Amino acid sequence: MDYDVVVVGAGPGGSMTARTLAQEGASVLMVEKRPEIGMPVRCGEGTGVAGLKELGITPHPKFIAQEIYGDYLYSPDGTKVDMRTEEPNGYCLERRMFDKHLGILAAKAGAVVRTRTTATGLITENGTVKGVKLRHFDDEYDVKCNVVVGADGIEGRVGRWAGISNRTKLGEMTSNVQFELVGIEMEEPNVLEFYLGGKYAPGGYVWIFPKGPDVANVGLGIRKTKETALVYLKRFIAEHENLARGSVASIVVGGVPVQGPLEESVGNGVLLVGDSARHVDPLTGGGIYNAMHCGTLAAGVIGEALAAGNFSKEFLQKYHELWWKEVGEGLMRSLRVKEIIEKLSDDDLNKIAKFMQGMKFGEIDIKEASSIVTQFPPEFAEFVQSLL
Amino acid sequence: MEIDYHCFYCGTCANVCPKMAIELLDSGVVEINMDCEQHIHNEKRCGICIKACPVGAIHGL
Ligand SMILES: Cc1cc2nc3c(=O)[nH]c(=O)nc-3n(C[C@H](O)[C@H](O)[C@H](O)COP(=O)(O)OP(=O)(O)OC[C@H]3O[C@@H](n4cnc5c(N)ncnc54)[C@H](O)[C@@H]3O)c2cc1C
Repeated sequence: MDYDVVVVGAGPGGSMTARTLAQEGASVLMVEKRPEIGMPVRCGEGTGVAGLKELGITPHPKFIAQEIYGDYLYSPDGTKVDMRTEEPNGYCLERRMFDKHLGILAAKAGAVVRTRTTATGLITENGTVKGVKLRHFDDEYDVKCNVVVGADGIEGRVGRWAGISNRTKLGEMTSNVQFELVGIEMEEPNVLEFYLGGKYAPGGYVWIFPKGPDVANVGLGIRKTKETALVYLKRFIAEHENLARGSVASIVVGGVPVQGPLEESVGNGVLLVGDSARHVDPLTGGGIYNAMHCGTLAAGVIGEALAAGNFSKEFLQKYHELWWKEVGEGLMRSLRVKEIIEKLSDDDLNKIAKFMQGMKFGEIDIKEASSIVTQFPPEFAEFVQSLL
Repeated sequence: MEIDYHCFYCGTCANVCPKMAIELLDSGVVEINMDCEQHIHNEKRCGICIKACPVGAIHGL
């Protein structure tokens, strides 16, 4: 064997897997097809304070653009629901720097990191993955290993090469475009803004994630529309005077799979982490934390597999069960809420927003929350519960 | 099928393609390979990638 493990993809999922494995003493190669880890960015860059803390990632000004204190939700008629928090509950990251930081942590822990190195296929023997075929400029070579981790994001191929179907159906993929706008005005430069409704973003939502006093990521995701996401975004910005005056410092484009988690994420000698395993939240589109968290879970189970010398699908299935237990149920709940929202008209959303206006979310206790939820018609209750 | 200069190389089309016919090469190029329905059967394209592209960069010839 050349390495114990090869990790394909140096996004947050891949880097956390590689780092944790290397810390445990495994020999790890992490390959990334892009010339620079973290570039180009494909993200709104929002993540939670609690998640980073739990994963032991110390926030650093080089990758934290802005601390976030909750959010405002806007319904299609402009009704605002105030969900601000007293304490910071999130960050707007510089993903470019964040991903690179995680890659560097993996390398410092002992993983071998190779950029501009593409996995072009798997090496399989008797139905078991035994390595990867790699390309680096004009060099094509094979690397043998015990386990291949597909942390290769939405465009990833490792899953499909291994016979794990992780393709997303058209209606289950949101198409997203985001402008980083400079010189704009926001209600508060440390509060996220979300705009819901078919008027703005059918099948998705608009986000404004502040990165500084007058800089923000303004983006949206849509599904099942005739016009492109770009058309919707330009229209939204043109209709909002405070944004329309901004200059576009960067453009981000990408797809987010919102069909919920995979039923199968492991095979003989192979497993999937992050977006390639559909660990992204189907309601919010957030996937950074889950990719990182599941990366650490994967590393734990691979560590056990290395100790046992058993890389079978049956052994690695423990990882599948673990992440389903830890994040799968939450993802399924988000999926249900997303399905409820899909059925709500813009009018329904306005009604819900009006009802929720004036509530102080941080101060609602569990008892009060359940009494609020029961006041809603049953089809709205789960949605409201998810917000509380 | 043709991919024009609007392309951001984001991989959305590669994911939704039922045939694994779209590849993002490390050189920053998106390539539609011979597995594309249109190439194989000379049939009408399935067009899924066209609909999924966030910026409208893919066109059927
Ligand atoms: C527009 C947009 C906005 C988003 N906003 C947010 C947000 O605000 N908050 C949030 O939490 N999440 C957000 N997400 C989702 C988030 O970006 C992803 O969930 C997260 O990046 C998943 O991490 P990952 O490591 O699984 O995959 P990725 O970050 O996609 O990393 C996969 C890596 O694998 C590499 N790779 C692929 N194939 C190969 C190969 N064959 N060989 C070598 N390398 C390969 C890729 O180049 C890439 O670097 C957003 C996504 C989009 C598109």
